[in-house]
Amino acid sequence: MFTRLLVIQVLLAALLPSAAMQSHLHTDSSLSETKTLQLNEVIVCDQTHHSAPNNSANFYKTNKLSTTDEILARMMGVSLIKRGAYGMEPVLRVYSAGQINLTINGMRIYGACTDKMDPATIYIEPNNLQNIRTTHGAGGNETGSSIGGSVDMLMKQAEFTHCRRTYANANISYNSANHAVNASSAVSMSFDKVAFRINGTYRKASNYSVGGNYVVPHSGYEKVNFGTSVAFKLPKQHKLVADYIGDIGWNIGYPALPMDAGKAIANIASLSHVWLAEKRVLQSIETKMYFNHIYHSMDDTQRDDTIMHMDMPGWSYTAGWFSEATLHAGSGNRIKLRADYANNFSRAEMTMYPENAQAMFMLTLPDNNRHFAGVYFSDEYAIGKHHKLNFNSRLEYMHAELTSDFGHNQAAIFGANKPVNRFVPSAGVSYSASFAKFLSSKISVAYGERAPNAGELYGFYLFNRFDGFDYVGNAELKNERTVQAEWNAGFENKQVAIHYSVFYNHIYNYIMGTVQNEFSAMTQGARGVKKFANMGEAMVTGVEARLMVYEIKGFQSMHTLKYSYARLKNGEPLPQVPPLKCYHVFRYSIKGWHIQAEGEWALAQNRINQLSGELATPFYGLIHLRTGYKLVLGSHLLQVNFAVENLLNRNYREHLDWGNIPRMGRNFVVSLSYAFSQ
Amino acid sequence: MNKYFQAVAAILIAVFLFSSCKKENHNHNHYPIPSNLKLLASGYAEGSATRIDVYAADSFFSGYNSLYLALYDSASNERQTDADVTLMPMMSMMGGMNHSAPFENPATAKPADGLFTCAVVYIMPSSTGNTWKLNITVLNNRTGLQGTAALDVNVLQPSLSRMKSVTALDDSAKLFISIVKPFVPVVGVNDFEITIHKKASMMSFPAANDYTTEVNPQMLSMGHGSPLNVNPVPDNNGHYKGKLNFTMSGDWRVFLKLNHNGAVADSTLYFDVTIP
Repeated sequence: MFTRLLVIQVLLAALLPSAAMQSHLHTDSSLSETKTLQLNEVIVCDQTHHSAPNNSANFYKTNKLSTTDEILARMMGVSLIKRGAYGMEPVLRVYSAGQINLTINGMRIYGACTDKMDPATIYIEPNNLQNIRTTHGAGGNETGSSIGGSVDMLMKQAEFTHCRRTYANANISYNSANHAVNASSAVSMSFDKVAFRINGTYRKASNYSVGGNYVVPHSGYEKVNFGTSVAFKLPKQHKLVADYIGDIGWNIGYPALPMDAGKAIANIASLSHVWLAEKRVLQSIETKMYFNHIYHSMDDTQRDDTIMHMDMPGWSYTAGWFSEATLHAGSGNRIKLRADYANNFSRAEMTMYPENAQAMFMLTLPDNNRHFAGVYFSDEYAIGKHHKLNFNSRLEYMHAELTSDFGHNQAAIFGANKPVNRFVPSAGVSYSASFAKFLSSKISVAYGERAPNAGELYGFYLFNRFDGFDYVGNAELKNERTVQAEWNAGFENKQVAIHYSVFYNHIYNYIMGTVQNEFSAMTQGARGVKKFANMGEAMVTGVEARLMVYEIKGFQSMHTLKYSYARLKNGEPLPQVPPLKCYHVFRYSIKGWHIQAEGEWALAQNRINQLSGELATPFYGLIHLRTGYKLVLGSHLLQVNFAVENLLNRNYREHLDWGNIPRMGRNFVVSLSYAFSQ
Repeated sequence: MNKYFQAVAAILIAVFLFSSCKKENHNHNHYPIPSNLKLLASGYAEGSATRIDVYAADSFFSGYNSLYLALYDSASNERQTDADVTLMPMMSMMGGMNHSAPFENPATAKPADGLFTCAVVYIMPSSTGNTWKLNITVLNNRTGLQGTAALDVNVLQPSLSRMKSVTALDDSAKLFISIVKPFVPVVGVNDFEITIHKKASMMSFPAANDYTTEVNPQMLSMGHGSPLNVNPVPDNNGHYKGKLNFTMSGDWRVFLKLNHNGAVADSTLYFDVTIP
């Protein structure tokens, strides 16, 4: 819930899993004194010389070519809203979209699709990623104010290393259920003053088949992703790093939506300066300037049931800057300061082409500019060896306005053509203690707010396929506010670790659409019009737990559980709340071989929001089997993996999946990886 | 240096004062015509020694025409801005029958901007054998002279009707309903203004102020309407004002229902509108 005191770094898919598997739990050196509670950080590493040890690597990233979605799906407290085989939207506990921060290396990025087909996670490949860090609740406020937490995707950057200065890998895989071919490669080199890294990924998938052996139309996709990072070492511990990620996807099918994505393009660039001054009060200062641009266009030309052809392109530009400093003010007192500013411009339009009539045009998201300026402060204070206090706070100011006459006129219909100015404060405090070397406990309370997002303020007949309503914005919306409490506890020794979190969030001014009976829907087939409104109070509570068996005679095991319960004050369940879900992983390794069996199941979700037209979801249970062999020959590493996912070919769907469309049936995956490091 | 500067400043000030005085004198009888107006007709009101120039934003069309009259002394060509102006539009039809049309005389004899604002609702377009004349009578209050000009007017039928006539269900009155605003509709909020005139005789079309209206814009190709429109309510002189919202560009049909004394007067009326 708060920035964690303790971090388990879970190394994913280290290319020398033997080393990874045999070593014990690794913790960040600066934080290693206390026992771990962190369930929320996944490190996606491919540097063999990095071989920080790893216990659950193969749990999160099941093969070298897992997607960002697949990794997120297995993280604690993370679920995904699925609209297609690709481009799933992360949900933290029950929070999504404007309620959470989605950042890349601390950079804000906003999708350009008004139908949320493009959460920022789709523009990042695990090949670009060092680490995905989620923070639940209002404490996830370092990169931006939020009530639901944050997902920060830390990119792999060029790094200076002393040994094994050259690293390269190449991976290819094939999935049978959608005839998908995935390929990726990365090269990094480190010299005295310069280091660089380049990587690329290509994916092509056809429509996937589901249990019962039929094919889901419009579920294929194709994309390339390329990234580069160059670092320059300057004198006196100064470093400059330039990063770029490009991502181009096309013909991305969204079977749960009336349209597919014809093209989705992202350019994500940043330049950062880092100064490390260890052993002083001022430990480090990092300053980053960044710019990202997203273009997304929807496409209905592949659909047979299109009543009228339409074009729906969207644009999003974000430019920003942040500086952050860490300080050691006496032993056991770590302070972090951060100041940031970002500007996001977005626009989405719709043009329809009726027969024998004038083309029809509107801005579904009128040209709008949002400015965010914030300051963040956190202090982690150790009281003796076994107690710690943590305080964090952020104050953010948001200014939003419409920037085109057309947009102004359009929004004037609903009186939403006004600028919006907001102060958005948040703060949290936590206390943690460790006992008897292997027990730990942490109690946190937090207060958070979030300003409404662009669509909630200025959306204009945004069609939401989930409930079938057109949504219009409301510039009068109040900030959504929350008061939260969380208790984490854990037991950990060399063989076993058990952790759990229990949380309760109370939400005020909950933002949701309310039906406007007097308005007629714009979208053909829509059920009506909803306007965003503050619905009053809501509550969310839940639990997450994880049991890990580190390694006993080649045997490892991991079990996770997540559950959330959420309702409005009147008792009505909140929509899109995942039911209880568990994973069980058993792994046995011997020499170069490993075999892994996984169970995955979720209870039925019958607590549904009627007004949203939500469907109840039945129980499902799945079995996955994986095996692999790796061969190390000097500097070379060769690895073959084979898996059967959904072994029993179950026809199932998860509760957050839209459109009652089943997930993939039995899927054979074969992957081949080669890595070189010297 | 300082003296030199003062001298230059003095000259500049003098030039400025002189030029501005000159302008003032020149402007004394000068009322500029707004650049968006077009000269549509011109003629002499014989007996009043006055020339009348008729301006409008567009050509004459069947519907509510806002007209702007500029009067000139026919000898000196100076603008005349104090006059009683009255209109009488007249259609002579092929069969020899004549009829007038609804019109609005200028509200004042001394318009502030020098332009006499008036209106004519042409209830049919000109065609072969059916010709419109606009008779304008001027009483020049400065000279006391009075005369009438009879201007030939060519009334066009717009591609989308801006005026319609219906026979009321309740009292069989013949009603003429015209759109005053929006002239060029936009996506968003539009001021919506209509006029309702009743045919009392071939020569008399008084304004009707006692109707209530219900407006309902629909995009027929999509089967949806638009929200938060404001039904036009009587303003005065047969004008009704409300708001018309268009959520997107394209072809719209604006349905307008008329009620009179609690009974439905008409429920078939509509205007087609295209938003570019």
